[in-house]
Amino acid sequence: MTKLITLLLIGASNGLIYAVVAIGLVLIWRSTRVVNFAQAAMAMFSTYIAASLIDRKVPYFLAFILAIVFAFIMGSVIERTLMRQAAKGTPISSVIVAVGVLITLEALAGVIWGANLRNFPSHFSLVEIKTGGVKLGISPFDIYIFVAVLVLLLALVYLFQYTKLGMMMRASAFAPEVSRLLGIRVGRMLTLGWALASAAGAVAGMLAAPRVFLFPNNMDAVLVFAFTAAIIGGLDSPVGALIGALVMGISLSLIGGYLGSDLENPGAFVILVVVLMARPQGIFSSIAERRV
Amino acid sequence: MLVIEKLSASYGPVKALKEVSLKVDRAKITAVLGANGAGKTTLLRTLSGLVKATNGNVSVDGNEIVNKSPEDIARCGVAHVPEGRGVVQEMTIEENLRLGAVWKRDVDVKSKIKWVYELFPPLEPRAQKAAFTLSGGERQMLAIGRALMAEPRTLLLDEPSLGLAPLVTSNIMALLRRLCDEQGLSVLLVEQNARSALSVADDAVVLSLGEVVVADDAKKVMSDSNLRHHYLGF
Amino acid sequence: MGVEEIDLKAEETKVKKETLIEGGSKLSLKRLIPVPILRNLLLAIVAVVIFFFLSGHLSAYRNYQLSQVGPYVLAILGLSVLIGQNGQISIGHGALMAIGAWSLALLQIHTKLPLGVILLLATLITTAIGGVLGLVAARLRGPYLAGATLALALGVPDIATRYRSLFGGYQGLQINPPSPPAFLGANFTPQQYLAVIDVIVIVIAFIFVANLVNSRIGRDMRAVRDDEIAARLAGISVQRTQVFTFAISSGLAGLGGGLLALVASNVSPGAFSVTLSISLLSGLVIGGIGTMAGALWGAAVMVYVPQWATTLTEKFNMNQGIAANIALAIYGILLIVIVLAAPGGIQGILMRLKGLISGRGRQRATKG
Repeated sequence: MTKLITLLLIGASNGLIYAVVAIGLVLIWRSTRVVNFAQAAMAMFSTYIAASLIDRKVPYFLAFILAIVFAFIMGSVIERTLMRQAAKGTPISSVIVAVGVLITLEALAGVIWGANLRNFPSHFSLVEIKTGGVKLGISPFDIYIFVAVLVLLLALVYLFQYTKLGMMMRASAFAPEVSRLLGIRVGRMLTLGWALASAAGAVAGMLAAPRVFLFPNNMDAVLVFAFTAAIIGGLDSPVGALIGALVMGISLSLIGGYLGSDLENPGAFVILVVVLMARPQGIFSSIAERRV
Repeated sequence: MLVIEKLSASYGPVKALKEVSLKVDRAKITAVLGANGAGKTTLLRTLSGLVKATNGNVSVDGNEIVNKSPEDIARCGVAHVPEGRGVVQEMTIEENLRLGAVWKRDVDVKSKIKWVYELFPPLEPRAQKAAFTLSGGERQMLAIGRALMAEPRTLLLDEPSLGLAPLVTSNIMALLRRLCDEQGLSVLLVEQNARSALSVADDAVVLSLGEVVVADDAKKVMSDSNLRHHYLGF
Repeated sequence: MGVEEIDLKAEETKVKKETLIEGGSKLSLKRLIPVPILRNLLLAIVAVVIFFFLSGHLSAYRNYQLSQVGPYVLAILGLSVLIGQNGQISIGHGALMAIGAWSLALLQIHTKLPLGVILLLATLITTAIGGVLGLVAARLRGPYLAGATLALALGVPDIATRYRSLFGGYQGLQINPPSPPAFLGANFTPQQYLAVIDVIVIVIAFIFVANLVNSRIGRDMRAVRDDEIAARLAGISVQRTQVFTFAISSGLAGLGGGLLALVASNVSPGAFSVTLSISLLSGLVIGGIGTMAGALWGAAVMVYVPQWATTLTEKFNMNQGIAANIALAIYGILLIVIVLAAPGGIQGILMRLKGLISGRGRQRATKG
């Protein structure tokens, strides 16, 4: 019974990290109809930036923020220089360019920082909290993940639902041509979408790294989990992606705990295929149904 | 005031507009008529920057706008209501209206929205509903209302009567006339439904295969049965 | 190799035009043997015989290097049929190579069947599994399919570590490299033998794909790629065509995996990471999507770029791990640049150069 509870809590905590990556995928998908396969590699790269800052004695939270700023700029540059060009080609061009960015960033990280595993500081203890000798199944770091993800999600909800900028971004995503006719600079909104997704990815990377360690491929699996989560959510819905990510986190944690950790990745494939076969438009998507 | 001089545009090798010239004065409506494929929609899309012009000049109130980006043209006070209504279906009615003036700093959004609700009463009770719940006529109202939010001086309308009941169409036409007179708008009204367009227009232009074949007073076009028969099919 | 020149994308009209230009005055192979299958077969036999004698003059290392190219040629050829001919994408062909490789290893360990039969069986097993995966793939489009195949690439190697007793775990399975049969003589090295096997397998695969692409099925594949709705209206079963293409493409990747197992004499999960799948996609795009020669260029890039990077890092006394990453960075950058600037890849660039040269030549001829 305690094993089950522990697995559920670990799963939820991992799920929150997948959620941030998944929401990054959703942000970009909504505005450009591109699945950003480089999302996780971008997150990894920003995490390395944070790690090297911390190595140079920059305080954790300052490094955290600087890495987010770096990610924001990196996302804008990738959108402006590469993805906008790729969008002029076939849909497959965008997929291939995103894969190109993925492989280039992983390789660059390997060249710059070496291909070996390294630690990434968690800043908060990874040891379970005990009260009166009873383990609670969660560590201070889990609480930190929860708070960080919550703050990030609330900030995104606020931006999209309650600000002019968010309204323009949503309009640009849903109806780019109409938005341009209304005087909205759609190109800038797309760039901003990539920048925000990249920044969210950096947060995910820095939250994931203390557990999975940091190495150039460390986020490959997270990308697949987050993609599956986003698909469960219909690719269009940030809330759907969050729920999907929690489902993924918990399912994989249970698979790993009861069937063996080697089955997590194959398990993700099976879940993805089952979801895609049952409801290709996702389980939480309402919009897709109206589109013929 | 909208002045178009020798405007040409192509889709690949196909010349869709050939040296089109026309003028819409302040507080006037010019109807652009013609068969399917005559270049009516292309004309509007070129004016609003969605299609690049290969040649010619366009000015609104003295500003050159030809081949500027659609965003910049919109910011010059040109509002284009595209065919098929062009509302953002996933967003609410009120959000759609707010989008209309989103780039404009000096506009009182609240009172402007209230004014649009007075123009189009059916919209107000649905303010918080997603736009895809609206009927065709209501979507047209929303699209026009949204275009008015940014206080444009030139309004480009693409087939506002498409798919609407005759009564709704005539209401919208009457309202256009009123807006034009009250606000001093210059309206370029593209219509397949020539009869209802001519009923409110001051001038009429007939396009055929991308060229202006008739440019005259709307009443004259309406009364010239030969011309009507030849180009407008009624 | 004459087979290289078959451009998979070439429309019938283009072929006609070429025959008109070239066949008019010159004595050409196309005029001597008008049936394409026979022509290809003849060229193939010539190629194998030439290589057979050539391989004897190459060093063991050169032969080994050459035999490394083969597996990737096949896997990229499979991807080329899938993406170039049918418009389905896959970021998971490394997983299909893995299935072929383990099939071959298990068959070699547990049976006494001859090598040719084992290679054929490994191909068929992967084709069958590919057919099942194709049923899933046929219901997915663009990025959805890309994501699903990426998940496959991530999942398959872990199956091997999970079921250690069967698949060998992290260490994988050891297999015996094939030894050359006695009638080839004592001087015939195992490396030379592997290289010859490679060339034979590649030639067979090329002939198979060339005929497939020129057949009615090939036309159906392209019709589905260009416009699914139009294809359906023309009476083509879109789903069946896509499943079939996925199966064939998988079979080619499986055959490549089988060859890789032979060349490496080992099958382990580390060799079939997500990076392999992505590298295959890179190889395809860099070589040229949809052309058979492109598969050769792409595979050569996949073998020679890492080796070149290793030499480079050794020269500058850099860490060994960096070499692999330099190669990946080159793939990544080439991948992006080629998609954005030269979608035809290396083969496209070569064809353009050839066009320029022959165009100029013709001009000069008319002037004179």
